[in-house]
Amino acid sequence: MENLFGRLLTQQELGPDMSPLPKDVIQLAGMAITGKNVICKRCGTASSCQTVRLEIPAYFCPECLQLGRVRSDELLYHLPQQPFPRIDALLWTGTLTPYQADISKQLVQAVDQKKQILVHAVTGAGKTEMIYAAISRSIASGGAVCIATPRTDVARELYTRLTKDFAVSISLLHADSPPYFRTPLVISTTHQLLRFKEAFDLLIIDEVDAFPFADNPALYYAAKHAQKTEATLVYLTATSTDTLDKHVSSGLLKRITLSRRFHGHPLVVPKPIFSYPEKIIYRHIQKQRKSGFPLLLFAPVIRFGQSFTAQLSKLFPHEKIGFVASTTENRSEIISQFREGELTILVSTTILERGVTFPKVDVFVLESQHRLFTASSLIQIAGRAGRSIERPTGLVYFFHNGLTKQMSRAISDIRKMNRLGGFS
Amino acid sequence: MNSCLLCATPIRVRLSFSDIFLSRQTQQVICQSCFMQFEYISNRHCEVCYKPDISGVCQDCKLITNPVMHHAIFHYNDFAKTYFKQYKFNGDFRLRAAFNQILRLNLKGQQIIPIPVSAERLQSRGFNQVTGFLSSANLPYLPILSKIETEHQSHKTRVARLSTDNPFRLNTSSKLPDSVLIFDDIYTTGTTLKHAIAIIKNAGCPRVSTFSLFR
Repeated sequence: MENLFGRLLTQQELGPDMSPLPKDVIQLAGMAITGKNVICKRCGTASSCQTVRLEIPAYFCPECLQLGRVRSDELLYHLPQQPFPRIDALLWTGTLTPYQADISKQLVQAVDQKKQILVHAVTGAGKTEMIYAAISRSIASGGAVCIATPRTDVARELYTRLTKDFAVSISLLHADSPPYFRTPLVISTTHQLLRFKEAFDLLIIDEVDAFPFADNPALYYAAKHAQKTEATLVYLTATSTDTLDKHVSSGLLKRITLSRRFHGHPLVVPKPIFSYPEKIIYRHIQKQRKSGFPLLLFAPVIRFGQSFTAQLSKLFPHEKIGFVASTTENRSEIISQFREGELTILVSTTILERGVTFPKVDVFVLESQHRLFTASSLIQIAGRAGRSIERPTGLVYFFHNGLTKQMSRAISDIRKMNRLGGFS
Repeated sequence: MNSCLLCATPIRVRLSFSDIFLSRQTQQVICQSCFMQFEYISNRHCEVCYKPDISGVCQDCKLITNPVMHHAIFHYNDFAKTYFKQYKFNGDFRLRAAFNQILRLNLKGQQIIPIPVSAERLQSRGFNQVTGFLSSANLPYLPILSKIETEHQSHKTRVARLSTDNPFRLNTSSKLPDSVLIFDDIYTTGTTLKHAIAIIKNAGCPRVSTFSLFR
């Protein structure tokens, strides 16, 4: 029963051990019908009755279907959240740079004052350490905390770090994770927030600019409903989205900016290079290989990445070259081989655009005019370079067949952050 | 613009002149590259039960006297399994529209009897995946079979499936047409269709053939 505190579950999710239902369980209709539309009570999406009618007199929500179907003739179940025992959970004893410390202090204040905050911090600013004090403060007062991110890989990475840095049990939730168990700290994908209702005193959403969260109304709805009515909401991002900008200018959200990387060096500004014919790219790769630094290449789609990798292996028989995509089974193995230097060149799709650090790496983007390379994606990709103190600089090249608005916006945003950071 | 229900890439709708002229709606639910992963059964298949990659008549069918001719379109490959997982088990009823054209081409003008699901399954799933295909393709059908709930087919072994009692009942007393086509989504062992054939033949219908989208 305690697993239903602060949760919003369908009949199927309750499972057999929930019968009989607790007496005070709150039951809500799965969907509400309003004229020609039917609105899902879990994700807030309105669908036209005609497209989502079943063969029996009922409707279903197509938007949040992957979490188990919500139906208009079934109920959703909820029990109010209960407080956790107050504990001092922070184990981490590292020190923050003055810039990080300033943000960290503002976040603790936001926890005390139940505010909404957008932290716009450059890639490699050391965001994770900055949220520790705020998390610890909330848990110390018996609160429930959740860190949500659109990317499963990022959630896993956060889980690994936080289990080391906090003395509290953490439940990790994503599509393939074990089921939820009640803990004061939850790390989850943003989709999993749909299964919570008025649950969290502090909700931190990391990488809000990433697909699929960015400008997805159902996930904003999820974030809104997963927090308590009096709660602190923190968005973390390296690139703002239009929706967030709107909230900032309307005063709903307070923006704080951190434009300095933890090592104090500026961001590497990408250089667009017109690359037709293709041999221009190979010439740059040849030149880069002489430096001996590892090379990370980004390809827009899997098939192109594969054929480019094959071509590279032919042209550079002495290099050890790997390829990763979402479909690669042993991808964490290949990634760690690249990190250890066993591979010298790694070709990747956008799955490695965020949340990973390869020290001393140079970054080349292939076909950077492709529609999948949005400004926020390109800013993240450029942010893979220069992340370590040993080599705080590096090369970032955008190989293209025609400059796009997204590329220009990424480059001007990076320049702007450097100016804000006191570099000219 | 709508997106593919299986891979989420945007679908570009190609309108032909007649689509505009007849103001036809060509709403696609899955994209071209996903649809191409459904594998057509080649010309080489069992002449009776349509088992793929068999020349002539397969061993099983040689043993049967008075066999019923089956027709199928696609291999039940891994991609098809993913599709059915999303359609039947996750319950995305919008996916019923994936085969509108191909079903109209193959079934138009025939007296179609769909394989039913039990009342319990209809309630829990919210639809019968077989009639979903037909109504989406605007094909009329005769809902004259009903099913009593048994253990779920996919939880049974082949032997268990072949030896079960007939789960179907005829729910009409009016005369059946002379020639009918029994329609199912997937043909695996053929047991389901065999039971349905028995009921329909028993009701006095002389010409029965069967059809499944997948085999």
